[in-house]
Amino acid sequence: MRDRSGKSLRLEEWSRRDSFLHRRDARIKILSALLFLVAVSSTPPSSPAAFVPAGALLACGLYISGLPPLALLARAGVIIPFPLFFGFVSWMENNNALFAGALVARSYISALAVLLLVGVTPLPALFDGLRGIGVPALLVMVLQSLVRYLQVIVDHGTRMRRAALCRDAGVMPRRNRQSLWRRASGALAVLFGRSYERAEGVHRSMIARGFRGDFLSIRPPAVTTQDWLYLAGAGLSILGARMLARVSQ
Amino acid sequence: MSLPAIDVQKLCYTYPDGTPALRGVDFQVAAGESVALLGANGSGKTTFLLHLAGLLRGEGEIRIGGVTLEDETLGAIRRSVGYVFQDSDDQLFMPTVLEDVAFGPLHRGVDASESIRRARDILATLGISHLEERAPYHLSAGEKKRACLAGVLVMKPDVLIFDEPTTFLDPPGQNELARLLIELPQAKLIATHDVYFARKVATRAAFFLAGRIAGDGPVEAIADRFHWRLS
Repeated sequence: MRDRSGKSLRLEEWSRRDSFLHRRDARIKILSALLFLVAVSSTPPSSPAAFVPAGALLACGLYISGLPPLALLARAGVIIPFPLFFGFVSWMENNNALFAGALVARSYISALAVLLLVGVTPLPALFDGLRGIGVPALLVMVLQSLVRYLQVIVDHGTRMRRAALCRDAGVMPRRNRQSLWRRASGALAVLFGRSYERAEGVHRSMIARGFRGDFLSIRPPAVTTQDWLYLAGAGLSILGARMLARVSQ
Repeated sequence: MSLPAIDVQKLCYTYPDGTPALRGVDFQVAAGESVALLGANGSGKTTFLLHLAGLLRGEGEIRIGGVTLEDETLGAIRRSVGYVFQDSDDQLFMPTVLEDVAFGPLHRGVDASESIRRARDILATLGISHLEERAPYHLSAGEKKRACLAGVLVMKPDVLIFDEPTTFLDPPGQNELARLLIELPQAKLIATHDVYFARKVATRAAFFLAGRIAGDGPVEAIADRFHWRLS
């Protein structure tokens, strides 16, 4: 049986590996990722080659990070249906395949860049970094809570799925979709009910240990010379890639 | 005469859905004393314990180490009460054991390096230093329980509260936990269904029945009086 919770956990495990990118300060990584996203989103849909420099830069990042590229590429692919749908609509309306293709390419490259950032930055450091670059503390707290509660839901969902599989063992005929949906919606209601209870338990435990609405970290961020050099290098590379995209028009 | 570690007078609580959970509980625990809370599921043990940490607020008076629990003293009370929850997964929410154990001191104003030092000390005391970089969800039930205990002990509380501490633990794990609890000098309140465990770690037991304390005395006597054993 495949454990679906493994996917989110793996991303967290990856973020705790060691590489040149892993060792960089979270704020620096966030800034360079933002710069990259701005460069990608502002790349004009002039030709299919326009996104090659950004893709090549991302490939370098993947190589330096030491993360499994195929697994990251597959995870980023999760977002493909959305831009594909909007790209298709846009193609139908404007009869411009290049524009539709650019929409998909932009979304996929951006998703991959964000995944790379999360894959090389442990979540607590990432949240500290967001606070460090001036993202409002309330927003960061909401994000932290969201991540934590998503983990809770995934955890409960996995257990419920296991329990269901143990009692069902796939014997239920697939054609009985109505019954399947009824069961799924019931299970979903139970899942949210149980997740809510767990979230309440976690919250109580946090309050009991001094939580006042602001997550603190035992690893205070410190920017080193190497971080600044990385930011300069990454910034220049991103600008270079953006210029190349312009040349390819 | 020293102040009782826990002093509760006429504590009442009704859940928002109208279910009465506590119906006038009077209860005291002396400094350094270990008391087991026995009673059926739903008899009010956990609700009572949540009140002691200020996580639920009912009617009546609660004093911890002589300090009355009210809005102004809530922070101080929570600093002096260490709560080990029944489900370790509720308590372990940080990405690594070290970060989880350091969470308490860090969020009570201790700086990061000192929080790490204290966390490492307590992990060493409990013999789980090797787990410090592990993700809590990868630990065994016994390891999780010890990590939870570390997360509470690191805050040096005066009162320790354990809600069903033997849940998910195998017999060696229970023995190990009992050994650890016996060595702790704080006043301890342990809600449990396990009379053998209660007898090991506590000298006194209070029996909860429908939101009231129906009996209070030596563990053996209370277990006999309420037929609280496997037959």
